[in-house]
Amino acid sequence: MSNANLVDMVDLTVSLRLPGAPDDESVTALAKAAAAGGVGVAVVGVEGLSLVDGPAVSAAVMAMRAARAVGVRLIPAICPIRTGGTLADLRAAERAWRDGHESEADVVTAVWRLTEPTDDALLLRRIGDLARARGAIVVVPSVDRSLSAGAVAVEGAVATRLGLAAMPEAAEAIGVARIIEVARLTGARFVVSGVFTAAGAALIEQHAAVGVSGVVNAANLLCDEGALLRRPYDTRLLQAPPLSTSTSRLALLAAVKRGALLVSSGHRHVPKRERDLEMTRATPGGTALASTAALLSSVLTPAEFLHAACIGPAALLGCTPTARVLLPAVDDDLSILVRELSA
Amino acid sequence: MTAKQKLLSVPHLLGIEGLTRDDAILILDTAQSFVEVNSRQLKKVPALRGRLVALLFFENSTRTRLSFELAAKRLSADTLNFSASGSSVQKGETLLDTARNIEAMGPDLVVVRHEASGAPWHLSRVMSGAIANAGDGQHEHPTQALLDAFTLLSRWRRTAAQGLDGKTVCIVGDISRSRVARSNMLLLKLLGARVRVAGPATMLPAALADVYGVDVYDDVDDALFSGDGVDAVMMLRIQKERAARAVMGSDDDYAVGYGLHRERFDRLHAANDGIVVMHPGPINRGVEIDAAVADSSSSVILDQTENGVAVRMAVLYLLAVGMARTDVGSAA
Repeated sequence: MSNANLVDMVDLTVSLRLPGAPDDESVTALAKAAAAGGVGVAVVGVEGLSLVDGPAVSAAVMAMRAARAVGVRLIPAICPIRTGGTLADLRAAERAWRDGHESEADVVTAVWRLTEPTDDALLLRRIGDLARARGAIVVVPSVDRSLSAGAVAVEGAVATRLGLAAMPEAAEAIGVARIIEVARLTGARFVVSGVFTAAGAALIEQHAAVGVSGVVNAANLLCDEGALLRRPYDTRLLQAPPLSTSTSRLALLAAVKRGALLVSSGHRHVPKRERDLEMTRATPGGTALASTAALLSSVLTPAEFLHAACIGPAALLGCTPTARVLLPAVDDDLSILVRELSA
Repeated sequence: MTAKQKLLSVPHLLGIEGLTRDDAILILDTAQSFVEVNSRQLKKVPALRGRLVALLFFENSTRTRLSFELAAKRLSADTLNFSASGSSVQKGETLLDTARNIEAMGPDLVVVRHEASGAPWHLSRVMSGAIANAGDGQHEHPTQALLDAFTLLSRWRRTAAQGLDGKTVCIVGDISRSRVARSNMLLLKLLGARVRVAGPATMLPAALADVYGVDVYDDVDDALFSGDGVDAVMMLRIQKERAARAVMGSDDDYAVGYGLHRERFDRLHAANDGIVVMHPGPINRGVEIDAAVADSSSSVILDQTENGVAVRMAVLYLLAVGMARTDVGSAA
């Protein structure tokens, strides 16, 4: 197995990323990965409302064409909904995406990603209706905005002692319940990203039949809010949503082991200059998780990791039927560059 | 000062958390000696002559800033004033870059106020001078708690060593967002007082009783009048700039429900005519405290301000004395 290629992480919340190096998110990174023949599925995002007709779209389309040239299959991930975004923005982004492609033959299931949580159930419903019609998957953050505004921690002893702005765990349960009901209403498939509470995970597992899945950031499987006390104010521990309580962390880990939750890298890039910033000013992120598989090897077996980070998401994206069986060293649609796992 | 100067057990004053009872007593006793200095006609001693005190205020302040500046000057220190408004911070400079540039000017002591919890801790890792926390986010405001304790001890004619045993202090307001409350809960408990906290449920952070060992009430009348009642009440300012609006009703609702209005004060005074009324300021008169109550003989609000200078002189002095320690600047 030491020379085998393994299945790469299919990170539903990542765009333009070099596998194994979530810090490096650029067209160049994708091109390098494609040139190495190591990328079977490229997830490319069109970030931001103002970028619909801007250079980012052009760059993304160029990357797509470069990737196709080396036989890469494509999963377009369109991320048009930030705070204040509308359905029209989503349609415009989708149109820009399709206009940039000569053929959709290589494109598998589209992923529409909301980069910010929304409490607007009507907007969610309209997105759900459109996504069901297009066969797209909607990735949406889990928390209720009004309860989580400004929070960098979970309400509890740690946040109280350190004086950190905090959100109640109920912020996630409320947010997930809203998504579940919208999924039931529209028939669309939703993926709740950044699940961080036991209650949120339980709701998702109970309502899997509705078409709702959940993704947990790897950081929340590895450390919980207690880390803030051991190394106070280390902004590399700041997550959006925040680190779990120890109870939730164990529940999330159990859910992943059962196959009820998928895993992402929690990839948001933290610039080096921000790592020493005070907690409330730093960008949430998981830079330390550049080697997610290696890190998770302490809590997941290789088989559990493969399912949670690779096979499960691939199945969700519809890759499995054409990819046959995704196994190490098999000629798959997907290949991997995670040496740590095979070592 | 004594011939053999006692030292704090910590190189920086980042919070009350981390201080020992002996540290608190040392600061309060030292402050008592500076009260005498402040009563002289010539209110100045050469204790910090030749030392540079940098006052870094990234957040607005009136009382604390003036108090620290006056304290430094009465100790004969040179002062370096910095405020975020009009500085390179507004041009996007990070806290650490600002700190490193200030550091290049060689301050011996750094007084810092910042909107982010933990900012002084950050600075203690990169600056060589001793750090005094003048308020960080929702975390701590240790010198406010020290001057509050000093004021209570003075009012009750007790020494710091005697402490606050047998006394009950009630803190009322937005506990969740209050650094004053956090530092006071820690220090009052350290000095032996029993502490009650009260406020709307939305202003009471989770696990308060477990973390601080205080009694928690969401009904202010229960907090003030149940059991043996209280000996002092500390009214916190409703912090409109920290989004308190989102978790409370109108000012009038708050005043009726949780404010120390005339009727509630009269009842309190009837139960204990020695009741002490405190407020860290600035006051929202008519919201958390009635104007007449704030100006009553039970109020020690101006005493708090006056004592703040002596307490901050003590803090600066003791940190400077402790500068010989090798671990200053490497608290992490």
